[in-house]
Amino acid sequence: MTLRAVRAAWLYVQYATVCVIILAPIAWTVLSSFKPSAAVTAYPPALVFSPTVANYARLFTTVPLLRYGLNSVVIAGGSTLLGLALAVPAAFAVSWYQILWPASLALVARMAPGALFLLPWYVLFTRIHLINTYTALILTHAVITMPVILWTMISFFDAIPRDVLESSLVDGSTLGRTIAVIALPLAAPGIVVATVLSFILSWNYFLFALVLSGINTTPLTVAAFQFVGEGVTDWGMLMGTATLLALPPLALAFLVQQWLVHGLTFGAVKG
Amino acid sequence: MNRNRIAVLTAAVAMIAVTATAASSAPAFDWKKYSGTTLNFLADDNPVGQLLKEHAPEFTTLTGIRVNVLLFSEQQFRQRLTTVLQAKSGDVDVFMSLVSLEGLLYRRAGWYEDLNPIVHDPSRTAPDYDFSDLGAGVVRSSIVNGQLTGIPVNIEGPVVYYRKDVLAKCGLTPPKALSQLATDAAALKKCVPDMTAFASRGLAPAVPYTFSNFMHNFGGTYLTGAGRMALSSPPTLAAISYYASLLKDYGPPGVVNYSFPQLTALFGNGQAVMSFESSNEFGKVVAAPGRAQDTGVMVLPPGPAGSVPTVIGWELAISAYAAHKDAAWYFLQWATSKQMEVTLGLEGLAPPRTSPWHAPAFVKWLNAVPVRREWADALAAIARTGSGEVGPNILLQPQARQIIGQAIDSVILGQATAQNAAASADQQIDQLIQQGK
Amino acid sequence: MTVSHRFDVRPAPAAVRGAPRRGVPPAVWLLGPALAFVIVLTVFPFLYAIYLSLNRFVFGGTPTFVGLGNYAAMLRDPLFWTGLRVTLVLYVLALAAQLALGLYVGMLLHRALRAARFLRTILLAPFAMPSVAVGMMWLILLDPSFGSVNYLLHLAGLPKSLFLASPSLVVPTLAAIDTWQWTPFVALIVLGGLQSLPADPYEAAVVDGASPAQLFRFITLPLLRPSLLAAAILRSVDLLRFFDTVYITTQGGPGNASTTLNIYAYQQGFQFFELGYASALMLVLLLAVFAVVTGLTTLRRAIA
Repeated sequence: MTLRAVRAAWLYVQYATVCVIILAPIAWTVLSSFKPSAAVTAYPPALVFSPTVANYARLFTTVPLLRYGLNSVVIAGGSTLLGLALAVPAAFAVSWYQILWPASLALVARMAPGALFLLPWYVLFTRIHLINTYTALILTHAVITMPVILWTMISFFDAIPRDVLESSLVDGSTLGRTIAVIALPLAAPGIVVATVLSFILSWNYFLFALVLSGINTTPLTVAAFQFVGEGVTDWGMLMGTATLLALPPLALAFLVQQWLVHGLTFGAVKG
Repeated sequence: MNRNRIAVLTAAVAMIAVTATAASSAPAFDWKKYSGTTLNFLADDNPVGQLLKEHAPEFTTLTGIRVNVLLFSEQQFRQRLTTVLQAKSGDVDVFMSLVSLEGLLYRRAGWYEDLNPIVHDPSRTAPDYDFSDLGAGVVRSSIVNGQLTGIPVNIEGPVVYYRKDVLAKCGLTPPKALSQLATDAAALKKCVPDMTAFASRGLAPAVPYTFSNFMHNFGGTYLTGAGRMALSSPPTLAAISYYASLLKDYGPPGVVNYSFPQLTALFGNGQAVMSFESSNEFGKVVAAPGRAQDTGVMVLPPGPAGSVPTVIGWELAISAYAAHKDAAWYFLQWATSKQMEVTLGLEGLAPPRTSPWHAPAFVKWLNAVPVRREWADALAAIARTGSGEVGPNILLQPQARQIIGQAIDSVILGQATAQNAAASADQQIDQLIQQGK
Repeated sequence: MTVSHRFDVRPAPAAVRGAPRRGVPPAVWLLGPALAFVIVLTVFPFLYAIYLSLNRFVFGGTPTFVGLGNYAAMLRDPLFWTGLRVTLVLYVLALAAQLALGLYVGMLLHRALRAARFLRTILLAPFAMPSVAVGMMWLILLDPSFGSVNYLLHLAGLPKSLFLASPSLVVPTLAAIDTWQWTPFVALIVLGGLQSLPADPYEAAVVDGASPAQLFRFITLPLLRPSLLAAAILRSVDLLRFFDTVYITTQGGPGNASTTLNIYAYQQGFQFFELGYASALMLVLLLAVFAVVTGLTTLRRAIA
């Protein structure tokens, strides 16, 4: 065999191993969602079984999936957009002026245990009558997403050669235009990564929604907790909820990955 | 007039007279008085909460009051409840409370609306509510420092689920005495070495629920008469030794992480012979293939001090800051009414009232499957003779329970002797008692 | 072999050459919104937490001012030091594993780009699943009696393990679970970084006759340092506040073997209702995270 073929085979072996390790538990979760609860913890574990869609049927009839799902999309999407709007310019400034303290300051909110914010925010939002609104949830989730986007984007902006940006400014362009026309396209992979990561983080973050959401803004994550409790633990339903919950963020990741294109930087640098 | 006509007329007059008298002596209770209100009900995610959420639309039909049921699993439920109540917010009208755990704390914080004046007030309570139908002991557990903090909505306690077929195969009968549990477990370990002979809770905060039953059967208590911790007292110490050694020698590997999810899974999939766990898990246990036929249910066998099972129950409480207290009381009445408790009973929720146990529909359901009857009998015994003392009845009880659980865990893991673990825990909890003053 | 001069440390420009002076310096409108947002939303909770930490009270009682009493008690509290130790051990184990494996997986994904889009998506699944489900899933998979992992070990003739129920193994097990869940996160950041790398240095190096190993060590790794450090900082912030998995699986047990500081603070605040002490613990945790992040950012500046 040629060296090239051996190298290719070795690559695929590594690939397969990584996939198996990461995906085996996921596969178990998805398979379990098609089993009745008692069968999920059966011993020895059964790989071959007759699947049932009872769990999903019950999920769709007992949990208002569409309404909860919509709430989750609004909250996660809104907080991601807000995070992008706030963090991308800030990341550029951090990179351009080479000052790091704003990034650390933005991160401080994420350094504290989430529980620290619960009571003060509840009191605050109750006073201004924003409990059970999307606004409160989007704002508080943006506290989570904004630092993530900020720190992710800093390294992408750092990777843009300085002379490219400076030459644009020397040509008479304003900083704003330079950012919009030159820096952002070059850092596009970063924006893709940051969007996906922050959407997923916000999607699964439950703590703030626990106290700030009400009957109209309940996110989908609440459904996940419903099947764990004394007398009501249902493994099949829990795994089904987990599977359903993972689908929207994965769909988003799949769709935006086409912008993670290799080589976008090269043309700009050579010019 | 002929005879028949007189008879009919007399009957008619009599009926009108009776109706008129009845109407004038008892004003009809108006279920629709607060129609149009919306209530917020914060519920714990257990059979009680889930069933009440399911049946809430019936309440709306009856009264025209809308109920927003927010259902959360226990830890999340407590987080939200305490946050809302600490902020003195009217966000929650009705909530579920486990008085045995947090009664003293919440009472001290003033979070419960006292129901004493309301329950016996005929203008606010339906005439057929029959408060006296609720067991005296059950009601007593809801009274904290003179205040009726809520209405009990279920009773539960730990019971022994056991495999009749496996015991028979090994030539054993269900243990009749607490001490026999160990001998039977040893025999089972030889007879069916692949199965776990005896399983119960080992997860630190969850242990006191099952341990307390052992302690009371040994005749032990948590607190001395003077109000100090008594884990080192001989009967309690004996209970600690016994409980820990049972789990250490005959329990499942990794038992220190075990609570109801793993215990039900272990027994359900046929890996355990005996499992000492909450009666609430009954539905899940018998749902596993085969278990409905081969499982028996009994209270913990009596020890030197007899049989004193642990009994707890959730109650429905009205928040002291609630915006709609009167409408909330309607919800409580409906949820704890006789009819409602029969309905809930048919779905596996043990009612705290006495009458539902004799209701024909419920009796029929119980007799349909033998193990249901056993479960009902166990619960009846629990209700009759049970003790509500899960942890020491002090203000800082949650923390005390954790310390007790960790002490027992250290014995199970072989990290400490029972004497040392008990002494150390006594010291720590005595400090808590001082702090709580 | 030289790398682009871009990566030398240079002083920041005082003003952008050639740009017309505006009334408001660009830095203000670039940074202002983000900083204002953070400050407005977090200043009240921080002040409130500080206020709580200076008092002692249980529900319904009136707060008693104790000054720094809670902090003094913390220093004397053996559980605080246990929590600190557990947190740090877990942090170091998990971070090292995630960075190393994340780098490896990121490079792997970068290589096989065409077929990979679906695979790249599905590899995000571990951290796209809600934490309660991940915790419960591992609780079942790692159960000593009916878990699949022990079953596989049994089939392979290996001894079964207690995993999360073993006082000595619980922390490495938790680190492994977290690594499984978050390696894709790091890999994605690394992958994005790899996509943005300029081609010049590589082309020059290949012309110079460099081997793949040399390419990796002298070009790729240095160019990826910013991405890796960003990933390290983001993971550090979460790992030091490790909570979800412990909460769902062991509740800090066996004993206190898996009681991280965040779990301890939560127990004190939401289970034992010691709000003052809990707030003090949370603020100290915040300081610890801040110290670590500052250390990492200083490192970043040093190697940039």
